[in-house]
Amino acid sequence: MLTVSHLTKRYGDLLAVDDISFNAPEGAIFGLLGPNGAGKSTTIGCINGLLNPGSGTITVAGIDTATRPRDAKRAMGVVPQELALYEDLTARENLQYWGGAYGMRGVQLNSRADELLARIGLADRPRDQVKKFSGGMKRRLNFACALLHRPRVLLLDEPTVGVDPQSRVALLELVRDEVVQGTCVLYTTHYMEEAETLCDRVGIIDRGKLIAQGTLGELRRLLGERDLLQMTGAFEPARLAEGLRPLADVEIVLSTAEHLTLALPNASQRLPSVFALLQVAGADVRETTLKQPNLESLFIKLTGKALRE
Amino acid sequence: MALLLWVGVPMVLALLIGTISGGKGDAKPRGRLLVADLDDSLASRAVTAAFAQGELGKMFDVETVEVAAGRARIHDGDGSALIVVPLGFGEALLLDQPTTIELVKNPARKIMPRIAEETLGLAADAVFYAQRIAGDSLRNSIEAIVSGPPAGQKVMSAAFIAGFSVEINTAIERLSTYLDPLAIEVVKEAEPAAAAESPPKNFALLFFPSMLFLTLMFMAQGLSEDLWREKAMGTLARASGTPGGVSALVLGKFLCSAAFVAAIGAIGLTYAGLRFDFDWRYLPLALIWITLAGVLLFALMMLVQVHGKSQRGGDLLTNALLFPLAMIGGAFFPLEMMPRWMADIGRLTPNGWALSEFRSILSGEFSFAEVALGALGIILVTLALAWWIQGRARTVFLRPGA
Repeated sequence: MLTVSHLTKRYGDLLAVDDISFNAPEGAIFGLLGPNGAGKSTTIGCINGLLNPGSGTITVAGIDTATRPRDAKRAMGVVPQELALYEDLTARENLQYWGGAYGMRGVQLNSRADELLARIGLADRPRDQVKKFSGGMKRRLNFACALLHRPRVLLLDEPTVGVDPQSRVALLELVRDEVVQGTCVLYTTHYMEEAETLCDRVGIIDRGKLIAQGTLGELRRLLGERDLLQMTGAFEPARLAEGLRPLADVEIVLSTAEHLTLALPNASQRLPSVFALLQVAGADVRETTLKQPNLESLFIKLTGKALRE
Repeated sequence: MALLLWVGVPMVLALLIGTISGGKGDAKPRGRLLVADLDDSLASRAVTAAFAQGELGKMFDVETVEVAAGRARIHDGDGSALIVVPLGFGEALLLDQPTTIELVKNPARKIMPRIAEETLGLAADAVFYAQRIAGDSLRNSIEAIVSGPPAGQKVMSAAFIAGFSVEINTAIERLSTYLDPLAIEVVKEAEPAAAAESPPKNFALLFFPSMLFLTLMFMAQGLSEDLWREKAMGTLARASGTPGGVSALVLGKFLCSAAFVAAIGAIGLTYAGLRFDFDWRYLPLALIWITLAGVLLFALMMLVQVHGKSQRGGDLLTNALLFPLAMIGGAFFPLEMMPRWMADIGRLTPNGWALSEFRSILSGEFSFAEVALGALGIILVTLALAWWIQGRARTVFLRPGA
């Protein structure tokens, strides 16, 4: 449904998106997981026509965005990261305006606007100005504005940033409803939990490159079911490799004078032997965090840093 | 609120300027009339003297010049008009022979050259009727005097001079029945009370167009900030994802500004038609013109805005453009009240040029061809600017961090 092939986007010397390729199928959610500045919004911008891709091809519902941009845009709905609403207009007027921008008119537009107002829980406030709404209500309306024309591909650019937990749950429910109806969703986020609970497939993006992609199971297998042991303190990196040699299945993911991250199976049961070897290697451990295998530990393994760093 | 400011500020300014300059419209336009008198006869001096006497004397500064110098000065825009009285004018006048006075008008001026033209027309009519009244016998005697004494005589005979004297006396007696008392009595009627209260047309012509243009300029500047507001609200980015894209949004802004300007123009012109007694036939054309000019000004302001680094920067740039343009282009002070050199520069600005044409349309002193050509020019320039703006808006303007 949505195919991105060898997409590259450059701002001057900065390579914002570096040869990204992925395919998001119909009726499924493809998550792009990565820290801020990784290139997620730039990728979405290239897909929806906000930015001109430097190279690569993008097809939406089989339509090439470069050769038939208007048709491709008709097949897409975009929920931007920031609110994009006219605060002086009412909820209904906003929906009518954006529906009109996609060529909808008259009864068809009005009935669809009413239907969406009911779905987002604003059926009782259609004539209220948006500026009178709470942040969560605005988020839901912002989401609904992208659904008016029944897009086949929905692009969601970190729609839950700064949203309270209750509204977040409501938004994610709306996304799932769309998927049930056969919509293909591209969902960017830097919340690992969101990607794990919502997405059918996940692509991990960092510094413009897609460094891994697959189903959650496929990605976990990349980590080899190993736990992550993150430590802070004083370390001598040169002595660590030699000191940990007796533990053959331990991998040093990150090693600096102050931080050490190890990947190893059954870490909780092997802590005493690990600490003993570290002490011999001259390490002074002050704080320890143990992480079960998940997307974040995979991200740390792949990039050597946490998602929120 | 913004609309009140756009309309209110020019009204207050017009009121202030009107008050400072007398405000009642008593001040009459004043022009410089250049006269090249090649004949230097009694008749030619009488014609040129007509412009230096009575009411005309209050309107014109008459200056005698050489023909070439006069033509050069009119070419340079110095003077309202040049009158060239040809050699032999006085003799031709006495003998009722065809003769021509040349009037060279300054195309940049409208009112004073027209007054000069009409005055000369009246003078020509007066000469025609004087010839009819003076009669052929008097003309025959003048021809004899001009031809000189008969052969063998040094002077005209005493009988001829006596006969000529009788003819003059008879002509004067005949004329006196019309001149003393005057056959045509000019009755000066007091103007109706309502008319006395309404500002004179020339005052309205001076200030009303300037006030309307100042409103347009404020409006154009205010509306041009819209792209920044759209950007800040995120709606510009969202619009770029719609099938019409940013181009449709920009086009919508232009149509909206046209509707806005047309509405304000219609209200202003309707008021002017009722209050200042403008000719209603010209008001639809004036409305079309001011709408086009308003959209052009909007396009200019928006062009500056999309080149700003921020909304604040854009505002600073448009304000830096707005006030000098309004000052020099006749929106603050009518061009007619400025020194000539400044008015000439003002007419070269887009708003100054559009304002001059607008004033011409209101006064009825315009050519349709000139206005149509100007309107076409405005449309083409506006379309070019709109194309540039939408290109800039969907690329550099929308770029993250821009």
